[in-house]
Amino acid sequence: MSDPRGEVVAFPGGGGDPSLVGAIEALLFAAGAPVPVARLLEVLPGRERREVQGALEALGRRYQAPESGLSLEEIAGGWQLRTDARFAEAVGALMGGKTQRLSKAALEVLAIAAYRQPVTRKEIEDLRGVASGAVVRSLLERGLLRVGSRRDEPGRPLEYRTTALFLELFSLGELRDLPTLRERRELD
Amino acid sequence: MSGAWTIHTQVFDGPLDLLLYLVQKKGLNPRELSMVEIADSYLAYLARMTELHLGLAADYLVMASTLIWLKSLELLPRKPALVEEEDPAEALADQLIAYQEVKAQAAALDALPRLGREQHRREAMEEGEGPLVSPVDAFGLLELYYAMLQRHAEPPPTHQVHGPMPTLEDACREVIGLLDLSGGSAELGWMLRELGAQRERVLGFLGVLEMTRLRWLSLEQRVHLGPVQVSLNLDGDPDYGLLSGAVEEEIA
Repeated sequence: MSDPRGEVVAFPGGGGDPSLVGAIEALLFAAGAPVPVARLLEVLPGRERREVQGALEALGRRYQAPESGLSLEEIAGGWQLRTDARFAEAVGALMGGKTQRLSKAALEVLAIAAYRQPVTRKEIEDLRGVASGAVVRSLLERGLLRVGSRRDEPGRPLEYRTTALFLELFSLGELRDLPTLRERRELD
Repeated sequence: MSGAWTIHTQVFDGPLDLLLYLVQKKGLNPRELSMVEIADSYLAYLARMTELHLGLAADYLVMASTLIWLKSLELLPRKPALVEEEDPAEALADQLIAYQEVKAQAAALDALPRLGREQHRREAMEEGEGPLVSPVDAFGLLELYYAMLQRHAEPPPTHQVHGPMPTLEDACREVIGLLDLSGGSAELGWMLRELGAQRERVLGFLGVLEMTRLRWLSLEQRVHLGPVQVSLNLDGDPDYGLLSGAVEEEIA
């Protein structure tokens, strides 16, 4: 059996050591949260990064099958099993319909923090033209923003940054994956 | 064009939001605004909002005064400026364009597949690793609080001298000071006792709750009804403004 590049595929069904693919699936299922490759290597002694990467690719391919209800995503610097967006409605109903709601104001503050971080509260308020302390506070409580260091300017204001939870919520691998405005325009 | 049947469901997040809406509705370029036109439609909108008894935040009135001033600059002849000054209309256009970009980025974020909306994850397993560090339950805190009040009930005072009333911010500073002294972590009961009079202790307790909510502190209780350990999560001083920051004024 060979793949399109003509390389011999060691195992039928998409490559990768089947026991390693299975082990990684079990780990990601149990974890729920995104697991970095480094962490997978810690709990899989004797395995090499290259093998684990190959197994992740094989696992990802398996979830691309139409009968698969899960997908493997690279999120917040790790790998995470998620339900496929096609089944969002049914899964949402099962979970009691409590979807993650974010107000327009919260989205704006997150956008300012995400694209321009680190930002101070004053910078957020200057951009939005409206007091934003309450929104910043609720985003801190929800763990979507965090306090960075103090800026070296008069008043020594605190700087805010987005968190790993922010990346997880918006399905981003890292901050560089934030959509650019050009991409956005092309979508419209 | 006015009619009693005109219904606007649009809710604005502040004056810039409203202004941007008006600019976009008229299909105008923020760089080439006629201040006369935009100031008039902004004021007309404010008047309508007042009619509908929507509370107007002060920010809207500040913007109204800015627009009226800009309108006057546009209408009245100006002495040529001796020094090259920034054009105030230009500054407003910059603000509008920057805010337009923020809104576009917020829309781009909103369009991303969202966890809990398009996709779901498996929730964390119940069992933890190592010693169970569970979040302190409300009753544990309450019991501690009553025990503290009773243990240190002060004898009825013969004179009451009221000093300046300490604020929540003062109490939070005290708590953080105590935590700093104890190397970032201390037992809650001990800390409250250190705070002195009953009033300070009550405020200190509220401060601990508030700062925990803001995730500046974390609480840990290893045994049910056991001592509660408070630890500092911050480097440097926190933004005390968030403690008592006025609730965002929004037109709802």
